[in-house]
Amino acid sequence: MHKKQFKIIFTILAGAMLFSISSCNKEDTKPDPLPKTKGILTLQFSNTFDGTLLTKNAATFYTNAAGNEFNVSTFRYYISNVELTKIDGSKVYYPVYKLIDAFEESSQKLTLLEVPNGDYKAISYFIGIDSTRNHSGPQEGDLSATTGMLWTWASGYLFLKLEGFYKDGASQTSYRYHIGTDEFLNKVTSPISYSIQGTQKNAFMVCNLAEFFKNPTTFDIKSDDDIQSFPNEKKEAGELAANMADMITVLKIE
Amino acid sequence: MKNTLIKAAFLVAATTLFLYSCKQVDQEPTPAGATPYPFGVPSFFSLPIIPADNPMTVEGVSLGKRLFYDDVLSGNNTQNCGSCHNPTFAFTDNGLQFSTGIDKKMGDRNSMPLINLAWEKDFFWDGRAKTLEEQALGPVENPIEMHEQWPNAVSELMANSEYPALFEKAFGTRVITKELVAKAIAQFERTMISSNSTFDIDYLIPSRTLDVIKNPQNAIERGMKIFYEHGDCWHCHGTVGDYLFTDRDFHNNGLDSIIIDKGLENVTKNPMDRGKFKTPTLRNVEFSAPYMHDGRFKTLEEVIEHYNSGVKKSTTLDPNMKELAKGLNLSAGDKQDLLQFLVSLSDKTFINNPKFKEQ
Ligand code: HEC
Ligand code: HEC
Repeated sequence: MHKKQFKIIFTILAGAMLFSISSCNKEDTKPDPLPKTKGILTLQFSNTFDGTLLTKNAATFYTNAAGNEFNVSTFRYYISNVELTKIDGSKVYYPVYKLIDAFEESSQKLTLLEVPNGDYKAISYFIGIDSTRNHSGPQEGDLSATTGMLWTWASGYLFLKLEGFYKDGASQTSYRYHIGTDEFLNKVTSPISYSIQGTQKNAFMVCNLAEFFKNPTTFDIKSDDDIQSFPNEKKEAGELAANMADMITVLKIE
Repeated sequence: MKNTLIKAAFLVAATTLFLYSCKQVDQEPTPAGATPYPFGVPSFFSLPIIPADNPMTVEGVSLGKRLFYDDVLSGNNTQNCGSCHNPTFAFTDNGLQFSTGIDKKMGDRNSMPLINLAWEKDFFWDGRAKTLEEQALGPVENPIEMHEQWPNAVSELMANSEYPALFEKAFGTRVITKELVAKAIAQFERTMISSNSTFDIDYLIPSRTLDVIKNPQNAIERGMKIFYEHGDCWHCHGTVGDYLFTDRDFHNNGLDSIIIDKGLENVTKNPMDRGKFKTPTLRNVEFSAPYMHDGRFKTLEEVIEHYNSGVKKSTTLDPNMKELAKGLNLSAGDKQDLLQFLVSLSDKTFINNPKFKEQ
């Protein structure tokens, strides 16, 4: 594209922006009154280590099942493709893509609008990104490259990024676990009964980082402190991905 | 035909962009009489951060530029922001390791490039300012920089024959305050966008996908491959799709094993933040020597050698320096290629832009 065209586009962009800004100001922020046949379900994630909320870069370390003392500087993961199952077995699907950041409160809510009234028996979701979206390059919103969750080439997104430091004898050194690739996508179903009747409900989702290091495989950070899901790391990445499957539980819906 | 397609793609991108801006940049109306500044951003950048209480206006930007280059803000009227942030040097201090303030006192940090600041969320090497407005208040009173008292600076501006009228045009009031001075300067700084480097022109503007690196044809692409693959640079300087060339976060990139300047720890008081500094953008890095928070490396070759073989271990060495700490084993040719890639981020239209230069 030539400079001149670029300029023209810029002018259009600028115009559009001004327009959208002014329309923004006039926008009525009050939500439409709820249609009575539908409700809202908000998934709220808290990120813990065995019941204690995680602290970024904490100077006191957590101890995992293998006895490693470690802390966390980065902990983020994707929740996508949420599905709600009614007791009659019918399903309501939401094509959502949400990046949960343990240290950014504003990221920890995923709101499902227009949930049909009814009695439900389960919530299902992916920890990660389905293969279509995983291989479509940088996208918008939580799938944008600025989240730092995109691997550079065809490998797609990191489904989970965990980084920090651990005690290695007397010294302290870093670890990093970047879990991704289609084969390590976790599809999770949590059975829980709840009823939506034209109201707003909250699902309290608890992610326990302790589970990342155990069940089924007790993982010793010292055995491998750097896993990026490269082809030669499939065994270890697979163990951690399997541990992730029961990392999140639905505490209650009310 | 191809152009029409590109245009269409741009417009689609633009439309989505503005839906977002509509959500995020909750701009207040501009002060009465001021003209909204047409703030266009390249499609391959994310959305900039514009504080609700400081919308960009033509008058505000032009006032900010004037203040940026006006000695009136320094104690003995001999220095301005531009003294240590010269556009020709990507807004750094004329190739100097440390800057000398008005009292000939020398600082201990290298001047920072001022590029694409509208996307940053922390300022200074150690992140001690959270907005550009807050940042701009700092240098004026800093004893080793402009060493002026704000009340003095403000009364000098009030007594000036032109400034009160300019503030009125920009902010609807003749009563000058330090906050308004900072707002005007911040508006000017947000216009300093660099997005027209060789790399932009060859790859981003024509929306070419970067998988050319599977079969690199030239030095720039071979360098790109090192940058985005085993060099691990992208973990901190921006992955594919994030073309600000910084993750806008803080890291210890292994300069020292015994850390003297504690960086982010000075601000957070957390020993886990020892030696972490803000990742600088790599755009125009060719012009901003010397390098790092203390300007310890005179050339980009020295920087590359640091990452190749000089990484020092310490208790807070970043998780994404793990591979680099083992040594990259780059050949002389690889290092040249990486250098060529870094140099492809140079944007001459940015450093020579008359809109940014003192007139
Ligand atoms: C005496 C030299 C000097 C002067 C004068 C000066 N600066 Fe700076 N500037 C520096 C140095 C050195 C740093 C880095 C300091 C640090 O991080 O501790 C810096 C950092 C900055 C940053 C942070 C950039 C980033 O990416 O975080 C901004 C913005 C900035 N200066 C703007 C200004 C403005 C506006 C003025 C005028 C009001 C000004 N400077 C005057 C030397 C100077
Ligand atoms: C762990 C994060 C990280 C990685 C990986 C990383 N950098 Fe950096 N880089 C930084 C930080 C942080 C700084 C500033 C450090 C300081 O001043 O103390 C920096 C500084 C630089 C600078 C100097 C810029 C200036 O304006 O002073 C260059 C050039 C650079 N890096 C290039 C690279 C290249 C090339 C690679 C890959 C070989 C790379 N970096 C890998 C975080 C990183």
